[in-house]
Amino acid sequence: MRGGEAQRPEAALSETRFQSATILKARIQHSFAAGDTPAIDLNFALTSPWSVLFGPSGAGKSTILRAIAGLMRPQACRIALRGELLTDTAQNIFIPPHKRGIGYVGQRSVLFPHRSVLYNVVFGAEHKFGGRECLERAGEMLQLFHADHLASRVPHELSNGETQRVLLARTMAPAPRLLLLDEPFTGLDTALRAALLEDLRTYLSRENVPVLSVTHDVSEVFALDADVIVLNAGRVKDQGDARVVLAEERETLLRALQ
Amino acid sequence: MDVQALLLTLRLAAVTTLILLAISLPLAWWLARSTSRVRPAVEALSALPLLLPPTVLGFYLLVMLGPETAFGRMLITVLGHPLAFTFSGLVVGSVLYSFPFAVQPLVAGFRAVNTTALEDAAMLGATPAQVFRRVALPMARPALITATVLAFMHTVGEFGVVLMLGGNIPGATRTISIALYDSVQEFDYASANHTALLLMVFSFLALLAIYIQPNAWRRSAKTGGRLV
Repeated sequence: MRGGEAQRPEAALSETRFQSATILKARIQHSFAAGDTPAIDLNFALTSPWSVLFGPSGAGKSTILRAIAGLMRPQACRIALRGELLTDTAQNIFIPPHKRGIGYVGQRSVLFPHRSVLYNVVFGAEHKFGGRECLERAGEMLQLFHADHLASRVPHELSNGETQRVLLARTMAPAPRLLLLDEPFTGLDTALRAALLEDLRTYLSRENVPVLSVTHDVSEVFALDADVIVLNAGRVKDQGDARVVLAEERETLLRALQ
Repeated sequence: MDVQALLLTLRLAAVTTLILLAISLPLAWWLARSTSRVRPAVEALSALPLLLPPTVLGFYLLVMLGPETAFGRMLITVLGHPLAFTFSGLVVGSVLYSFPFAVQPLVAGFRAVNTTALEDAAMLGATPAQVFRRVALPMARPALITATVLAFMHTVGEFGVVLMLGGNIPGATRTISIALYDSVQEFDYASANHTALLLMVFSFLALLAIYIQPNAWRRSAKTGGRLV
């Protein structure tokens, strides 16, 4: 992967910066039907600039991201971002999503269809930056994700890749403290994915924004060079370096490629 | 043709539509998104005037607003006069009578709004009120136009409620459809024809405005969105 190789020194640099502090602590328990054993019951902490929730479909990955974003309320849950409690069911604490300062690109995230690309990105910027500054911020984000030429276009005219670029520009516009990505690169070809990832990494390492992403794709995990949390049936199976915790999957993948 | 009745009708429809939008926008938003157990009951109640004969509605309003009930007596004390047989009384009747025509298109429109777009807006820092005003409402714009046109036209055409509640006082409660009825009673078919034709053309144009709009929306999208 082109982008991963080039960014490695920078990633290592920010790693030392983050190592001391826990970025996010989460304890989540949730059952979808009353009286069942919890479908999700886990406990994890993020300490790396990029962490990945890896697991098969239905392992609870998206639910975990939505819980961190504040888009759903698990039955029992305690989530703290850099020591600040976002959700704590025991103390009845729940910070609403718009006050969390978390960037989130969901699997089905869409651009607002009734307005231009620029409007979409300005919408992201203006809740954080005032007046002139928010226009500047929007322009800067579009440029960063190589989408400035799309500014006056309308969402339904964009290709998949272009839409993804604008989505990322819009998500980063309010300068989130944490970025959550739910299978953001699904449906994009490898070259496009690499190019997008490179743009994203440029921003993330510059602004020191940690990421928690979700995937069921082993090759993506290795491309990201991230701390991996392996999920199975709503439980944490393992956490650590991809080469260690996914050694088995890696072998399978390599064998398949031969 | 009775121009005074026409102007009164337009004023009645305009006031009614404004009040209806103010009530039905938040109500429809709640109906579209709520998982509350009372939601079906509220929705049924709001749709009731669809099936209720207008004369039934007019009759109950006449009784309720009159001196026979405690509520009516309180109203008379506060206002100094009964609400029935006044323009304000007609507004109350029209709001109830046209209620479903404003609420139902809006509920359908809000239900069709992509929930993900609303969540995305919240994650970008938009408060629930901003999400409603800047994302949900523009995305439901065709429904908003439909609700406005239907509420307005339905009020223009009402007859039973007006007759029961307002009577036939020129300049106060004599609406265009009552004037039409009067023309026929007086065998003045030429005048009746003018009024009826005008109402028919008016209704057709209103419906045309509703059915033409999805294309207009797409056209404006194609010319490139405008900023803020």
